[in-house]
Amino acid sequence: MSLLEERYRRVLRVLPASYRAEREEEMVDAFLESVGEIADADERKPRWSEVASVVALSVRVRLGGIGAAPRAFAAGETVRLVALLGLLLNAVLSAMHLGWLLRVAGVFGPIPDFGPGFGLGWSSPGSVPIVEGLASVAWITAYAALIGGRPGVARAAALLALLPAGWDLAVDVVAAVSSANPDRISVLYLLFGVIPALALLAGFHRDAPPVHRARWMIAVPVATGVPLWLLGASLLGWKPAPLAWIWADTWGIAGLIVVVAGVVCLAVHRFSPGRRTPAWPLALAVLALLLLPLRVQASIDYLSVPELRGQAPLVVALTAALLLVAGALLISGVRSARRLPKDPAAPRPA
Amino acid sequence: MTEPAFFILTALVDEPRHGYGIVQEVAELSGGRVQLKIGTLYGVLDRLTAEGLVELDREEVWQGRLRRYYRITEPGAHALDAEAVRLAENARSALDRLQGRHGAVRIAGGLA
Repeated sequence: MSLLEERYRRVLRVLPASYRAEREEEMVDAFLESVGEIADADERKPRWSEVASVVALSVRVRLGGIGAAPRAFAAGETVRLVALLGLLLNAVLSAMHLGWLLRVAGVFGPIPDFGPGFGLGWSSPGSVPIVEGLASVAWITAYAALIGGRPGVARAAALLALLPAGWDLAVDVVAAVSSANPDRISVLYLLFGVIPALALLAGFHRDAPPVHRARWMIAVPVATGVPLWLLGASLLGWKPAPLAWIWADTWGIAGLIVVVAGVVCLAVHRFSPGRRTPAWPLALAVLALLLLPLRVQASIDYLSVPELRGQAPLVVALTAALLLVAGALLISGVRSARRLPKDPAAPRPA
Repeated sequence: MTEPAFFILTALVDEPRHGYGIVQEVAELSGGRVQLKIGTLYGVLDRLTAEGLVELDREEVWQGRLRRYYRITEPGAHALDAEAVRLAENARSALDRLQGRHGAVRIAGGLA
């Protein structure tokens, strides 16, 4: 075996073992024939374009689309749902955030004064609210494009939406290097956007089934985000007890949404066996696990700040609920996935 | 239908071919524009096989290595036929309009 063949076989290891068992020999034959009978086969390496094509094939096989084995298809559906639900959640939070930015800008009248430490004013005026507002619009656009069957537009919008947070993180990292005080929590916030964006990149490949979601779902972020914001805004407008609702910030609401969605999903799995799929519980579990460290950090903050300690039981209870729901969803999803056949049918001469 | 799938089906119309045989034929059919990578080729073949448009013809061992030959199925030939008609109609519409534009330019040039 030449070094070139050995190197190509090493590249093929990114493919699942079951796929390699079926395809490796003919892929090696086709590859060696394509590079020709070269004298210096021990000197050459597979080109990057060949390596990239095998990596892309590996993603398509593992995150199966049309015609894939049931378990690979379920993995693909899980990743595609992580993308869809992650974009939906980011879009809902963005709709709320847009309302918040407009309120801070004074569009809805004067801002109430809650005393020192609890003002709604922007701490660093200038271009920051505009950039955040554009990022929020980009999240809503990404979600709407995916629902509308335009994953390419959704990818571009999601990457745009991530730019400000990515830039902030880069600034934090540079500051951390010089101050030795890294802001790890901003990495966790960024992950909540990065993971759905990566799922969008990987899951909606050429073989992925077209998105057939009802068009009315495009309105969900605004239809849920605006009432949630109105609720928060009106409650915060009722003096003198805004602290009672201070837990219901963006990430508190996100935790609550995931807990409620997880409980509904578990109920469907429990009482409607015919509708069991691994994709929904696993995708919701991924979102719950992404939120969990943020809520644990919030619980620690509420317990350690004397003024917030009165709200700590509620925040800790929500965090515990998130943990329990994530665990139950994982178990339910893994069990459903194990019931599915693993290997695709091998091609046989007709 | 994607361009690689269109060319792979076209490459299999006259005879069954193996992996590299398909790569060569697609390059020739496209005038060298479409150079299929091996990972891309097998990704498209998987999809076409799953859809029943292509099937395995035979297996051979050549220089100690496995070669699989693929052939187009009847549904594959129908799908290719439909796609070829669609592309030809698109091309005809474009050519008709271009012909009208060139004619108009010629008339305008003649009047001037």
